[in-house]
Amino acid sequence: MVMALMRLRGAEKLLLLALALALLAYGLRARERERKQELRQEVRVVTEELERIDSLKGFWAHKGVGRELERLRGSLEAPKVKRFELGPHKVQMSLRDLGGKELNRLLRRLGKMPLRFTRLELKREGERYRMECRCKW
Amino acid sequence: MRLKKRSRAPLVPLDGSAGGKKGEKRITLLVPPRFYLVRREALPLRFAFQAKRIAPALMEEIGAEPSWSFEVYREGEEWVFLAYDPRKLEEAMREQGLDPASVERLCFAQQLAGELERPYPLNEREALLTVEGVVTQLPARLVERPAEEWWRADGLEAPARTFPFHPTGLHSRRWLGESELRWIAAALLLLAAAWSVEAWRDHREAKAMERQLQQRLEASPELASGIARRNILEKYEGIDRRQRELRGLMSKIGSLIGRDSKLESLTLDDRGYRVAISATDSRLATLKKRAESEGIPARVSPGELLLEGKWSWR
Repeated sequence: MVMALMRLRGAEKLLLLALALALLAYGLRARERERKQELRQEVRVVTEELERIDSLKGFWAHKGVGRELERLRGSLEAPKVKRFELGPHKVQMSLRDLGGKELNRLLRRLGKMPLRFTRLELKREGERYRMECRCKW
Repeated sequence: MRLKKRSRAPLVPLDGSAGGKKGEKRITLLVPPRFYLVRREALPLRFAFQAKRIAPALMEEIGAEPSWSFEVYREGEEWVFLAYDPRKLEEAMREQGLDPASVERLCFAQQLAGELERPYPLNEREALLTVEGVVTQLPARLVERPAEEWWRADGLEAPARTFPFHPTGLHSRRWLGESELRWIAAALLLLAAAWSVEAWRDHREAKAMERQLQQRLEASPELASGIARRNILEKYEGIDRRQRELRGLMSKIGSLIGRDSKLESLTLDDRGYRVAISATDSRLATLKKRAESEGIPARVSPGELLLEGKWSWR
């Protein structure tokens, strides 16, 4: 093959060199393009993961739940609170004599907090309701 | 040993003004000694391909270049090695008005050593003559021959063994001219440059993306690892999914309660749920249908609609 190459004329050698350079450049371009695509995909995945973590952790690991529950306890009428135990990352409450609308409001407020209900019990007693609730966060 | 088949193309001497016809479509070219080197060796080789393999090394010792072409043939106990420069041969052909593409086969003067015991006039100035077994190109004045017979030279016939001729490169086959080759090369170089620029640009963009990603991950080192991120996601997505289902159920139950239906009891825990809703008998069937349409298993007991089920993650 070396001898065949040596027999080529100047223009043919130039053509061969140009072809080799073109192929090399094409290969480089293809490789960089592929790398860019892979990187773009990776960035997209990682960004999505980070955003999702930010969003979920931002809600479910929110600090200040204890303070909010304290405010909730303060807003309840004392005779209706049979028990309200606030511990580190958990709460247990027993309430009674709650009206229908009052119960609704309370459940909506609790539902908006990043609380994980482990037990919820509601029982109608006449026209009022009794509520037992255990939550974690 | 003679091969039975002979080339039918006429034998045309290079450098010759005697014999052969120019303008023939296929010719066998008689190559005079000034265009080749010859060497005879008695070697213990059986086949021509073996001799051809060692021909370059052997002939370079007497002046052949690596870019030359090499041929071999057997003469008695000896191998005859021939080396020639195909480019010089082509140049000589063109100078003499011969088209290299018309040359089908080559015959070296050495192959006709037996027939050139008598001088053969090549042209006005030179003749071929075998001297001590080697065909030599001599000035005509050194050769004894009757003058009147000088130009009535016997035509030589090509021997049984001739060699293929391969014109060098595309140029001599006239597929593409020199300027076309240069244009194509220029176009390819332009493409190469354009592709190189694109590759460089993509490389820079990839680097920028990498830097951006790196900065983002450096802001939260505990999330730098993909495994760590997926573990955290799994944990919080699990919590989110379960609590959304629970809150969704409470919202659906809320929609079943109204003026003519009352919540009697509700129990939700880690395993599932049990809900009792009281309503008039006429309303119960409707409530049951609505509950079932929301995907909540329901059954009717006297005066009550009972909803009971397990969580989807159980």
